[in-house]
Order: sequence, then structure tokens, then C-alpha cells
Amino acid sequence: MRALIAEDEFVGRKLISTFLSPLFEIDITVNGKEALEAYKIAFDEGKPYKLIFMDIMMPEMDGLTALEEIRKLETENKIPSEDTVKVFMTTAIDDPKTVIRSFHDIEASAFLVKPLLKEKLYEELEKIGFLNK
Amino acid sequence: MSDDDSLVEEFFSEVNDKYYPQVLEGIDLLDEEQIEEGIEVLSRPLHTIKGVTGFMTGFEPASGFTHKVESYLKKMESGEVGRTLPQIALAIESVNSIFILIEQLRNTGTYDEEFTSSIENRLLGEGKVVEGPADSGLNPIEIESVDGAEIISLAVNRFYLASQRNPVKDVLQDIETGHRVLLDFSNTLSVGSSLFEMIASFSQDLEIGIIGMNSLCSANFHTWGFSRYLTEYDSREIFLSNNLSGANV
Repeated sequence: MRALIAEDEFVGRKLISTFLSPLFEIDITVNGKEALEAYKIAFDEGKPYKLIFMDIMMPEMDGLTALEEIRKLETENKIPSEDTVKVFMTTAIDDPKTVIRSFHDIEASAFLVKPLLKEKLYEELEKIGFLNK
Repeated sequence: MSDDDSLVEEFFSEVNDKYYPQVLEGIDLLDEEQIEEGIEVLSRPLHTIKGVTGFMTGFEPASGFTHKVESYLKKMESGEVGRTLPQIALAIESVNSIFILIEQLRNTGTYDEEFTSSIENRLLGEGKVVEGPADSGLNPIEIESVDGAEIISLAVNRFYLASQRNPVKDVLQDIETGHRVLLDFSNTLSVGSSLFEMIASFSQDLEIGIIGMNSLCSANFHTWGFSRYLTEYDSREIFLSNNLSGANV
């Protein structure tokens, strides 16, 4: 199962990839623009990502904009709702509008505030059925 | 104001302005047995309520409950759960209950665990016990004229569907303008806001009183502001004595 990490900070990338490496085949990008390109390539290859970890504040293209583009592509490609990519927002920003927008507009499955804890991350993976304890 | 307080405030503002209208539209579609369309409309506001309440301190029970309601709707969409009228009524009742639950948590910091557990058990027990307690055996609608007022007793366990509302509407339509009407909910367990909305639409032509609501009916009645149109009384006698001091206004 493939997962994509979009994170502009080295330490953040390192931490998430360490947590996820036993469970997923991981690709890493450093901004929203790269994440969108990675999503398109994976889709074209017929091996789409099942999960994206998306930071919000990133250079070039922020995480929310990148995810809006990804959701648009899913709609254009008529991806059934049960097959759309799951999204975990990973961010230091937890202002109300961003939290609500993440769930409503982006249909995020989880909103994880940094610093990330392995237990919390695994708990969220369990909730969406990607991990069985 | 703490970060948590501002999230709660922003969330409820969105609930009132955006999610509740979406949910009403979804419920209406379910009511008309347009299941796929109804679930499609409901999915985004429910997903948002589940996600955001999971993030709000003290609202976690609403997140868990909403998750169970979502699962039931997904099963109904996939065909794993049937689409009979009682099953649709349970779907509508459980969606309405999400709003009762978040209001309870906001207003009191706690919630009626017995009530939510009973719905969760019925959602999980699909195929075994869906309809809830057996019907009372009473006539669904009984009408009597007392001292120039029409008293309508409603005995439907759960009042959510158009097929249940329409007979009440027919009765109200037949009552002469200016008459006094009392609706007695003593034998009703829960009511969708659409019933109150329909009754309130007659409030310009009829003087309408309500008695006998349990806490669930009452929460729905007051949450959506129907007390502006309909007057709640303590008892039939007080209504008949035309004594507004006994009205719960």
C-alpha cells in the first residue's frame, strides 16, 4: 500500500516516514506542487496512493490548495467515494477555519497537530481501517 | 477566548449556517425514499461534524456517535442494510439525534447516554431490532372536540416520515380558521423537526398548543425555535381553561 508524505521540514519528513515505513511504501515530497505531481504520476501508473500526509504551510503550493486539486482530479476521473485517497493533515496550524475547512472542503480523515505522536497517528490509522492492533 | 472556545464557536456557526440546511435537505430526500441522493447530501456535513467534534475537547462522544450513524448510512447505501420505512425512519432519527447530542454537549457539557446507547444499539442491531419499542396499539391519530377546541392525540412512536405527517396535515387542514387546537404528544417517543415545521405552518390560521412532549421531543422543539409559533402547555386542563399563565412560554 502506497503513502505520500508532503512536508517541507526535514525533521517532520523523517519522523513520519519512520512511523509509516513498517506499514506503507512511502514517497516523499517537499511542497504541495510536488505532491500534486506525485499524485498524478501514481494515478497514471495505476498504483495510486491510499494515504497522503499533508502539511499545510509549504512553499510553492500550500497543502490545502494541493488537496483541493487532488479532489478535483478524483471527481474528474469519477473515482468512487470509497476509493478516494485518505488524507491526514499534519500541521502546526490549528485555527478553527483551517480545521473546519480540512474536514469539510478537503474531506480529511484526520487533523494531526505537531508534534506528531506515534500513538495518535496509529490510532487514526486504525480508525480508517489501515491498521489492526 | 481559548483556541478551543473559538473552534466551538466557529463550528456551531457553521452548523447553523451550512450543515443543518444540508442535513435537512438530505433528510427530506431520505423521507422521499431517494436514498442514494439523500446519503450523498448528508455525507459531507456528517463527515465534517465527526471530524471537527473529534478535535473539540468534550465533544468526543458526538464524534463517535456520528461515526456510527455514518456507518449505518454507508451500509444502507451498499445494500447491507435494507430500505424499509422503519429502517429509513431509524436513519433519519439517528441523524437528527446527532444535533440533539451536540446541543446537549454544548449546553450542559454532558449528554443522555441512555438515549444515544439505545440508538447505537438499534443501528448495530440492524436486521434484528430496528423499529424500537413495539407500537402502542393506540390509534395513530385520535381527535376529540372539547369546549370548542380540537384535541389531537398522536400515538406514533417515532414521527419522521411524510407518510406519518400527512394524515396530521389533513386533519389540521379540515379545522376551521380561528379554532383552538391542542396536540398531545404523550404517546410519542420522538419527533422530527419536519413535523413541527408542518404544524407551525398552520399557526397563522389556528391557535395551536402542545402538551405531553418528553425530553427528546422537547429538545427538538426548542432547539429549532418552534416555540415562536406553537405554545407549550403543562396540561390539557390549562389549555382548555385558556390560561396562558400555564403556558411554558
